[in-house]
Amino acid sequence: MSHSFGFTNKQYIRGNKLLFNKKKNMKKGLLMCFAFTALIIISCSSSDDSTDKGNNNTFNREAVLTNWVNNIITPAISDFNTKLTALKSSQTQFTTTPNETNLVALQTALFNAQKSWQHIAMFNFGKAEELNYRLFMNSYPVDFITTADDSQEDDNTIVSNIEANTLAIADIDFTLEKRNNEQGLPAVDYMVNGLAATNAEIVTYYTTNAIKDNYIAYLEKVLDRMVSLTNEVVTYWNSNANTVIANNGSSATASFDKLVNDYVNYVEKGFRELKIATPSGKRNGSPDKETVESFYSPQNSKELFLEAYKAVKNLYYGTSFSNGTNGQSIDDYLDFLQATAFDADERATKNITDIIDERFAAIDQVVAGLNNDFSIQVETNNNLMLETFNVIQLYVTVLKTSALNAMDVTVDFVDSDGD
Amino acid sequence: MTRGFNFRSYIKNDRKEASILASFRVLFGVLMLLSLVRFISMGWVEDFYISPKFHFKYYGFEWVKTWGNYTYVLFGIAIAACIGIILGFRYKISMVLFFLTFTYIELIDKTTYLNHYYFISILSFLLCFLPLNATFSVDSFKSKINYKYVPAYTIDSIKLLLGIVYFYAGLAKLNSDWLLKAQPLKIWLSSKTDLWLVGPLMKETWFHYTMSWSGALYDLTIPFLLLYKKTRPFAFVLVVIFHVFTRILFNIGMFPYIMIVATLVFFNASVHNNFISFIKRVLSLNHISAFKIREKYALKNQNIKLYIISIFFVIQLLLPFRNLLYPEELFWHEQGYRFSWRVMLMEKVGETQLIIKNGVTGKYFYVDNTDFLTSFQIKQMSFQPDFILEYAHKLGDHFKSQGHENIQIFAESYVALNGRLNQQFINPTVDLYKQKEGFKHKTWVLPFKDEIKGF
Repeated sequence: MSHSFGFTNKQYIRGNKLLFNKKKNMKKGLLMCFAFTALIIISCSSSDDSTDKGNNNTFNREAVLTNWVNNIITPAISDFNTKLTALKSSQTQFTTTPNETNLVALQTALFNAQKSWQHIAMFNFGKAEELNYRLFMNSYPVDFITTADDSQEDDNTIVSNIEANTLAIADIDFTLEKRNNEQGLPAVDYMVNGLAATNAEIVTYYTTNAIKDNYIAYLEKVLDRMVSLTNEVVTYWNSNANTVIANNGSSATASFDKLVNDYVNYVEKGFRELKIATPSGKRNGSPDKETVESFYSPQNSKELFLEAYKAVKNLYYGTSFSNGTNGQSIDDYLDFLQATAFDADERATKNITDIIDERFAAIDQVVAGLNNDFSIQVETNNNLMLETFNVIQLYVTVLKTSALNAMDVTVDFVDSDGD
Repeated sequence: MTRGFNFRSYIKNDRKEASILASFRVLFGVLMLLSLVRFISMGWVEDFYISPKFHFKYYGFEWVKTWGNYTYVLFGIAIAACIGIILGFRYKISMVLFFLTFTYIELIDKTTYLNHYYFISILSFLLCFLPLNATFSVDSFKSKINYKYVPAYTIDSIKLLLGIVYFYAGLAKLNSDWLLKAQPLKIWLSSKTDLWLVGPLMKETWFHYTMSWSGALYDLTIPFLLLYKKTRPFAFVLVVIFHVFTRILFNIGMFPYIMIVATLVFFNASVHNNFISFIKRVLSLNHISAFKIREKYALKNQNIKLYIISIFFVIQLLLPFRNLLYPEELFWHEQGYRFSWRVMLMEKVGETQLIIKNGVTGKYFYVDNTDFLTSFQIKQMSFQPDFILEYAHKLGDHFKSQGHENIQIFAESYVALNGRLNQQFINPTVDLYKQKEGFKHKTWVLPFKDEIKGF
């Protein structure tokens, strides 16, 4: 056949080979072009801030965020706002008509607010972070120290503040960080529970005391400061809830990562350290009952602790603040990831969620034995306080060394390249 | 016919086109320049070298100090050196400067240690001895001499270094965690289900194993696939795919690009000639051609350079095996872990606090890590014994200078490795202030409760 086309077999083969080589080169070139284009496109768009909804193989972080924001954060903040408003009006009632009945009402309103506070303390997020809300609302113990080598400390104390004069009180700048423990819930606790041993005596500070106007002015100032801070946080959540939920990616700046970081930070610093480690003297060997939360109404200290513990569990399990129903949260994410850890002591691989359940159960057990009054607990059987620290620490370590990395949440946004 | 490989003749006679080195020089310089600019723009100079109160030192390099705000000067010099390298302007000085500044920066703080930074350091050391400016460079323009060829070993030594990096990284993956448990990839991949297209695969166990095994196979074979002409294009496609994939999955900065570009050195001269003539066309440099073309570049002091390069490679071949000199689990005590191409082998997280105790009165207190370290340093310190020891000594010296007496330092440390539950890491009864850093086995690291078999 080929003869009729006028060229020889040999020529035909050579031509074909040339064509083939050219094709091969083209293919190679195309492949490389494709690879490089892919490289550039993919690497430029490698931020993983998209959530593919409705796929069984992807976890929906937005569902967690929706649950947290709608069922935990906003109801808890609105509850606290209500309790704080009640506290403010009890204060007005008391300062206008200082008597024992109004004092008891004020003390009750304070306790309600302190209890409610435990559910929002961990959300050092958005406006709260910007304002340093937690620091100003609940730094304890109250400042009685005039000088210290700590650069954060100054010569002012709550006593020197009150004993100045009403004009000077008006001038105190509560926005300064070093003034954090001269204000907030602990300051109110001191002023309504701690001025004297009996309620009758406390009332005299606001009725017959030479500087009763100072006491009234300072109490008002502290309350007003809390109200204005809280208003800002409430406004933030009213207008930003949806934005926070929509930031549903998995980068360091995504809502999920930030809230989990806030959570871990609170469990360590707010919950473990302040409530247990410091009063028990875990960190320096000397127990100090004065560092107990609500030291001037110490009979409430365990209840406040238990409330905080409930909040710690609620966030982990995704339990609704208002009605206690279970929703999507960290435990669901870990189960979705089938996150396991090998327990070398028991030679067994366990689900991380099962391990955490066990750790909570251990905390439950130890906590049950604690005295309602931590200032008594610290003095009578501090070992149980230290044991409480230990069981909380077991939860913290599994959270930080197993759960967080399973969820690919970096602690404190360590921003650097890896290998 | 089967005449053996004659080393003497290979050194003396074998030659390859100088354009290979020239295009490698340009690409290397550009990538280093981009890396440095990126590093500065991320604010890392401030975060890693200026704001930390103290720095973790490499053993023997305690004398390398941060320049504080002047660290930017170091970066400035390195960037200037990069420009010199790209242009081939005073190449030798530029390269030496780059090697010195880059390595100095790396030595300031081992918190930032990455295998690929180490790779850049040793590669730039090697490049100081090679004639990357033999052609297509300002140096050759000024001397009016272009060399067509360079000794083959100058190019092959770069290939050898790359080959070592890959092959040793592959060897290091031959361990039971990697191959039999698909760890740590299982942990790292499982949470990446949001990724476009490949997301749904990330949770699949078979996928974790496939990635682990193919990763090991890739590292072990890629140097050989790149060496042979027939498999080279295929190998290069693999290189691109592999590094693009790691770029998508992990936060590894410029490294994938550096590795992709470096492998181009395996290609023959036509690719590089095309690249160079492309640059010439773009920059309209074609008219500059009043060169004397000489055949082969002869290295000055070739023998000395050859000795240095040989010693360099002997060290590179042996150093990664130094872990064999230590008992117990390498991943746990990390003696011999760095500088040995053990890349992405561990998901290791720690929670470590130090206790300062007065040995006479028994009084003690815990140190708040955030008072002394950045969050990045806390993270790295918490699971690496040499960091913990150095931190203990720095704290000890600090509190001593504050007037504390009879200082003893103990660690409360828990570490989790590759999907195991955390276990106590440092012997809590050992006074770390009395322990010395050195090459001796660190007996105060508690034994690892599990076993990892392999390299």
